[in-house]
Amino acid sequence: MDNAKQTRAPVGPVGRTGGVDEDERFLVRALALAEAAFGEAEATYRHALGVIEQALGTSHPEVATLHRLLADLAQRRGRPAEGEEHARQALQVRQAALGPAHPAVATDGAALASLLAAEEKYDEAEPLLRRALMTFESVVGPESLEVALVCHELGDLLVARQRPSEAQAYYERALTLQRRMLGAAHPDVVTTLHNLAVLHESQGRVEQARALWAEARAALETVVPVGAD
Amino acid sequence: MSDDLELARPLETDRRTVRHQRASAGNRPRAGLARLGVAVGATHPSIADGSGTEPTRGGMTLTAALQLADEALAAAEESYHRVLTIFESLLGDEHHEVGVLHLRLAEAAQARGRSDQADYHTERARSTRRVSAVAEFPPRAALPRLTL
Repeated sequence: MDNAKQTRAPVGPVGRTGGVDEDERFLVRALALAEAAFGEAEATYRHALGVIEQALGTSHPEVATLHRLLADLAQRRGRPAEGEEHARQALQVRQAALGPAHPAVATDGAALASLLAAEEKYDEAEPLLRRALMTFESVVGPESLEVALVCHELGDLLVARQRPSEAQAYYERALTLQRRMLGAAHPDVVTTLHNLAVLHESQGRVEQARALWAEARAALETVVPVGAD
Repeated sequence: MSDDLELARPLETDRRTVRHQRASAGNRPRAGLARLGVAVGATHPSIADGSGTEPTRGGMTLTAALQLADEALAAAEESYHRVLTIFESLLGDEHHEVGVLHLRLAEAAQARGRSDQADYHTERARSTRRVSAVAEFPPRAALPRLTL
């Protein structure tokens, strides 16, 4: 892809001296660094969890927050199975503290659903997302970013479950809300446009896919002009 | 898929090069994130020259590995901020755990060349330590240190 090269920096003052071996060593170091830094984040959250549980008990709402942070971190590391247990703990503690209809509980439910979907546990994930959608619609309002986010998640889930018609409806609802509330050039809009385009393409609707990608490209160029560094 | 349709995909043509500040030769080694910052302190020529000869490991390119490292560093720093907020609200802003987190944030800011923030967090850590010195706190387990 030529555009990717256009965004690269020019050759800097650092000369290339070690060739492939140097590259290999650098790559290994970068991966070790990533692992260590993610480990630092995890250790910080675990330490905080221990402190808060000891000081305030295991049912304090901030215990749920720390379990959520650990769950989100595990998801970012591509370890959904590790995150699942923390997400379950977060949902359980928060629901006990705030009741089942609280939007924070819906948020935790949606986060657990996202991890379950990553593990292809779709049967459990879908009702969690639908419950979160109902909560957000009734508590936050049908025209909210929370509803848009869950609609997008449901679109992704239904694509994975090979139910494209339902997925399309949720993507389109998410897109409508995002455009209205975030503007046409927002990254979330671009992501939804892309996912909807992929769905159209998979169903053989190439022209619709092309139009959505063109819109996504225009939005991206608004934010970051092609060739800018 | 046709070639022109492939070219229409915007997300795959918008890969960004992750840049890192080159560490100063005069920097003394520091703990935690500072040490990590030194570990990736170069704009690697393989990335910069766009030669397309990036090595892979487990299917990962150098660019992707650097992006992952950058994301991980951000996650570590974010964890300090998140936990600091929780500790300040629940334990008070003079608790010794708050001081430890200010030290971590000072290291992280220093590693990224943000001297003003580093000074601010260092001063907050010192202030907390002064208060803690006259109060009694239970012994704490230290946050882990990164050693690369």
